[in-house]
Amino acid sequence: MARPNFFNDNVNRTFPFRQGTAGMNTPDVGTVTMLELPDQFIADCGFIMGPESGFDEKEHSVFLYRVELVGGTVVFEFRSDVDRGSKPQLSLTFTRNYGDPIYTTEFVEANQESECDEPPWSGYLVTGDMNKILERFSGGSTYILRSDNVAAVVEPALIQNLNGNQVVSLNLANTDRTRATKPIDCPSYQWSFTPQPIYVAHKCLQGDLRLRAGYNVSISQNTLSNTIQFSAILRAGLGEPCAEVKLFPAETPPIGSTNGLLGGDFYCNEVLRSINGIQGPSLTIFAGTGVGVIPDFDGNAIIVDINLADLSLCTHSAVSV
Amino acid sequence: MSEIRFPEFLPSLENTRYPFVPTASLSNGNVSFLEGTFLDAHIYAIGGTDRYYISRVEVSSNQFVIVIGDSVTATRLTGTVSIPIVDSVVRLVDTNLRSGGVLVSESSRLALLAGWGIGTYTFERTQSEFCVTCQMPIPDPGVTSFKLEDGNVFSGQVWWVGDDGVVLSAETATDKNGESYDVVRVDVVGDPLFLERLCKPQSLFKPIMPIRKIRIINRDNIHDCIPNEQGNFNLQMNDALAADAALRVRTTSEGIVIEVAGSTPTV
Repeated sequence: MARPNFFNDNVNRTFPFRQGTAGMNTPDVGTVTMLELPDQFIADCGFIMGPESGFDEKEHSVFLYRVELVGGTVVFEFRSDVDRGSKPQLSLTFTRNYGDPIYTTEFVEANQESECDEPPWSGYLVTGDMNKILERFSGGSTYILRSDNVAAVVEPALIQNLNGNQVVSLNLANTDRTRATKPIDCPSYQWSFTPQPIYVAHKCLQGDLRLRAGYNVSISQNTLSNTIQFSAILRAGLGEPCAEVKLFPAETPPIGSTNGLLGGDFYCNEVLRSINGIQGPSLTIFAGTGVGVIPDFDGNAIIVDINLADLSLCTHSAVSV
Repeated sequence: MSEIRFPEFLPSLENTRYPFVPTASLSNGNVSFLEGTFLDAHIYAIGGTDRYYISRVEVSSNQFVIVIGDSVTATRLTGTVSIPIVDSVVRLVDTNLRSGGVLVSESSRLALLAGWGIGTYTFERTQSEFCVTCQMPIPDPGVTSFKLEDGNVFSGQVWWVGDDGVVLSAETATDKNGESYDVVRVDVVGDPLFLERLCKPQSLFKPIMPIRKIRIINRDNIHDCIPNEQGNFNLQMNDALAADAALRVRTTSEGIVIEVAGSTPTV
């Protein structure tokens, strides 16, 4: 606990709020606004912004948002102006009861937003004399609400910003494999699942993790540079796989697949890639002397006609054709 | 002598060495920090130790950088102030640009440092050590971040995503003591249809229906021929061993020539 004299000083000055953001022209009695917040309300406070808070001390601040009388308690709600998108605004609530002594100290930690999260933030609050606080609510009003964005801003040195200071968890995912498509007018491939752009493999890995080199992977560690390097090397790690590696356990080949390949493609020996060693994309068959090569577009056929045209023919020939 | 009974917090520190230790000289013999240049400080570097101090101040034409050292290194944190000075709080960051504390001042007070002139001003710990109440140790959480070769730093809930033929998975294994642990497995298996993937924009890719077998129809005989392991199909003349075979199948650079050897009529 800080020395009481420090608290005694603080209940007579704006601290822990920035000068000019509270205690401004405070009336001696009666209700007040947040800008007029009496110095006696709060003697000290401090906050630790968590590793996922998104707090940036250049842009954001912590401020007292609400002091409200609720039944037999007084609620102090602090907030931060961190823009958290769809997540709720950072809020931390402290409560005091009627009989609490002066300089009552309370530590509060915000709830985890999911099992894998760290608490967004935490803090402590030291309040002043409860009788003087309650006097301000005797006029009928039950709350003091911050209605602007300048009042009751906490001193920046009372905030410890741990945003981004640790890896909270490791999550694994895989993007989809390239899946074979069929030309227009051909029935498309169908899978027993709906292909997604990305598949979550595992969420919320925490604690001591180990890395394992699977197929065609070499993992090396350089302690001096604190570096881990993943290298794709043929036959490294567990060597070459004998079968395709699924992106997720339930992955299956397309419906009606005859070769069991997950992407709907073909094995090398299932596709004509060359004739007599000549590859496409265009391959020409020449009809030489004595031969006719006739395309049959309708029948998707090539007719090779040994017609002996242009050749000198004998009545009797022993030549094999 | 009159005295303000309850001065505001920061004004109460104006004429003290706070946030430096009372024994700090605040001078390196060349330049000096005036009392009140900094009104408050809160230092909590990731991976930092203790005994933080200002190790140097680098003044240039458009900014000055305050470098904070600790008992291990002279460069643990840096705080950059742009000139002209509008900030009253100097944000301290580590080499990965993660927050490590603040120095509280006012723009007019910070301007004193800019007035030192362009150059680098080095200080010893005895000259500029911060008092212990300004130094906040933080827990060592283990892995603080992943830094990629391009300099990007990732922390919080980090996602590793396998792409372009890399597959990531998690397994649970057991050590010799029977303790289970998580394993991240990395497989590199390639993407068989990578040409289709690389075709960008993807609308330019035209799916093909590859020839998978050649059907030979010889009157009533029908044969379906499939490629060999390399996807090759051989077109050969028959009776290859016959000495008098006239059919020729030749492979040329232009294609495959099928012909019958013989003489052509002379006119």
